[in-house]
Amino acid sequence: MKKDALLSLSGVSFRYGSQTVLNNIDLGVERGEVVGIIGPNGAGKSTLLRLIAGYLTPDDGSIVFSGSPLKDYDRRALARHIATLPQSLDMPFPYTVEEFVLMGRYPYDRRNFSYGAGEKELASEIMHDMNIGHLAKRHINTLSEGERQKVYLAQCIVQDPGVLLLDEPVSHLDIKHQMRVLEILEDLHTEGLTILMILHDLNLASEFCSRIVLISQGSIYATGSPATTLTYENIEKVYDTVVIVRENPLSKKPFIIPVSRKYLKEKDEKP
Amino acid sequence: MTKHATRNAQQRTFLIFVILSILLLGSIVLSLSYGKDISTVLAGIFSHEGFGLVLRKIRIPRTVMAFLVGGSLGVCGVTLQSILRNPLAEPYTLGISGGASLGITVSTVIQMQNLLGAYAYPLMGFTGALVSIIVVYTLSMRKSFNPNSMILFGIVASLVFSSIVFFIFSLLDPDKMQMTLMWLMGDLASLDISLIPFYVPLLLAPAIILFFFGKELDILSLGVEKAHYLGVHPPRAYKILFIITSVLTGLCVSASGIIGFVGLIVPHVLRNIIGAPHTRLLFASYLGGAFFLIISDVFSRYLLYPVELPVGVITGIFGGLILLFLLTRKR
Repeated sequence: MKKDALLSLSGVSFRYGSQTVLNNIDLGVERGEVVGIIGPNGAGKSTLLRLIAGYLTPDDGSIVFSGSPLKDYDRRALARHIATLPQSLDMPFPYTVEEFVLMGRYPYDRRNFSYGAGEKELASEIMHDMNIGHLAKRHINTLSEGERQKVYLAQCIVQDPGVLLLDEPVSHLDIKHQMRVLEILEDLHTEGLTILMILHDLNLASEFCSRIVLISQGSIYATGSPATTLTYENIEKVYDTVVIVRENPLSKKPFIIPVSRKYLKEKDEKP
Repeated sequence: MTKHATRNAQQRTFLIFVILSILLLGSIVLSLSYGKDISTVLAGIFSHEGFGLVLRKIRIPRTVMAFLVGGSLGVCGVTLQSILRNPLAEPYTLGISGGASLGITVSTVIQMQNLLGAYAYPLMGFTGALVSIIVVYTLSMRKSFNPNSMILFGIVASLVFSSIVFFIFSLLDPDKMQMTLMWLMGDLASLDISLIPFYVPLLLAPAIILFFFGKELDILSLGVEKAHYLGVHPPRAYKILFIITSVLTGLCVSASGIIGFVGLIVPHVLRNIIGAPHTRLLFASYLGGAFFLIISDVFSRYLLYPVELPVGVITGIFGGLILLFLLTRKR
């Protein structure tokens, strides 16, 4: 682990009651990385993200963010550095897109009755950049899943964070919207944002992440570049599924193809 | 293009506030002047006899209390709907009415009026409310202080307290309980006017504090986890808001009994008109709540004149019908 890591976890464990969810996690993240957290359901990915976001506190170990222990940060100060998008958000009230996105300025402009003109301008600029400017007056509940995900993301970006934490940002989207959202993230990365995201789609993780953290049963099984971590040995072991790994002809990144049971049987039957 | 739209939205909001203020002012004038012409009312303000006395002793105090209680119930409703993330929550969802009812009922049973006179109901009502606040608060504290545990323990407290009230009622002579029953249905008539100078600051202060929590309410309405990520400390915010709204509701109940539906219907209707962001919804709901209660009080006085109805019955009927209309109109 390098000394100048933006974020470092050492010996982090977390338990729900007697059940250990994460066990002795060591992880360093440097400024400007795009880290894809992958692993089977229940491996502890969301818990890891919530610990880094400061929503949960580790039972053992420590998390240091930008030189200071994470737990020493005031919530509002932390919200200016880290923006987090949880896996699901439900909206009981009919906020418009504009109103919702503007809430991202709360960590900066808390006490006034309404958000200032500068804050509103920033929010509308970001909405335009993300091609959701035309949705400004729509109620969030009337948007499609893909539009909504972009709106949620816009709120995070309005927070002007250095780090973006995302829990399955593209899981419910069609490939077009998956690509649009991930391209937005790619652009943000070029502008200097550090991104940690949980992804279920191994191929998207391979394409868009500079580093993969493969979690299995509460521990880090492997971490490194997609080429070194997304090997068929690792994946078959952690996911208990047979896969073929090829190289994407354009990006030269690993490309994972799951193997259906019927082909395995044929192979087994013919010695 | 967007700037233009923003200006339109601001103009619309401003217009809604103007309309609310006019409605409120109209209801105040009506409440003070019903059955008299304006010149009699104006003369009455400067006179100490005849209608002047009626104005001073009855109509002004009553209108002031209707304004303060209505407004307070409105903002408490907004606050609780946001933190409980339920557009159908209301100030009594957290069990305050049950505790206050029990306090009043006990007050009647042990004849507290003999000891405290006009102060018996307000004091015992507020004590009862305070007991239920403490019960719900400590029970919620045992788990993590979150909206679900608040609703859960609020409903349980409410059920237990009101069952005890009915138990006491079933044991007693119904005639004796007439006044208590009136009060339980909401009653702006029986508060002793010597208490009003105390109630004015006590009811205004918490409401004014709540106005400053608009942005927090926006964030909290997105749920505990997202609120954390946007820089709010939800457990702390829930505690503060729970205490302010329950004490304010307790004070309202102690002054004028259980006036239902104001805290539910007013935010609900106004959210549809003015939008969901809480700062403007709080202000609008204060004005709207005051208007709704003052106008309901006018109806309660003159609908079956000279018989006066408990105002809670009027707000219940009106509120219920409005809610029914809104719910059936949608979708």
